[in-house]
Amino acid sequence: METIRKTFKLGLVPILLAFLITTIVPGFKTEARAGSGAAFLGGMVAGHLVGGAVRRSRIRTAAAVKSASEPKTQTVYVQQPAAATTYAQPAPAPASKMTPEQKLQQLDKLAAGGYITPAQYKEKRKAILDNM
Amino acid sequence: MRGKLITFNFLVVLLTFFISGANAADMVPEYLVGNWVIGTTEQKCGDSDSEYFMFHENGTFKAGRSNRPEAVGFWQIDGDMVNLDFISSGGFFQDIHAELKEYANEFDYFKVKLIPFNVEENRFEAVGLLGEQINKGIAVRCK
Repeated sequence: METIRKTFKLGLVPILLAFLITTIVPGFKTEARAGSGAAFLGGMVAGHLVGGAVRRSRIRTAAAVKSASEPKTQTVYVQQPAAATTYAQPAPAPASKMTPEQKLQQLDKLAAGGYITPAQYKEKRKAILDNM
Repeated sequence: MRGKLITFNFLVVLLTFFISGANAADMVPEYLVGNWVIGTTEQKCGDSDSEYFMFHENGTFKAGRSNRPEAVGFWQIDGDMVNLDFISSGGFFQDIHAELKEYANEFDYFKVKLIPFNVEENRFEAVGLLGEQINKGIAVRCK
């Protein structure tokens, strides 16, 4: 009889433990599970992602704080490449700043490229020379 | 002494009958293939809000609510466990957690382990594990 009692006790212990864990212990019920009785898989996915969303939000907040605390000169730094591009391809000096020699050379190029007619070339050339 | 032995044998037979009655079916592919309604509480087939699983013979499965797929992937029985590898979007579950709105149109890979128990002909229970998440589910076979 003692053997039967022991057998029963040994068999009942895991059953009772499983029952306690799954039914009575409130910690077993996840937040997602409590949210919807219908969503088994969805409850787990939601619970899993909410943890990830919190982490992601923290990372974003940290990045925003870091960005705000850094000196504003960094913004100027970001815009430097545009300035570098300007240096690489310097714009031609305005016509008023050009010397008569530069103006004549430019006029020769325009004529050689066919951008102006021979008559226009002669007229412009005369004007440059007259203003010297 | 003889009487005690008979009583003991009777109890062993009774216990065996009880245990075998609770596990009337085995978790094998032939058993799992089909349509199931699964919830943390027992759901009824046909309820639009319930979560449905369709386990296909080719090893793929689809899960969703209200005729909308929320998870698609592969299933595999590994010993006593069922492995689910699937793609889903947190945006589908905004009704459970409003914070998941930011996951709309963003898909992630998930791996869930199901540990079935009380496997009966048209019903089984299971504990699901997804990372730190644990959920107990009850599945009922639908026609």
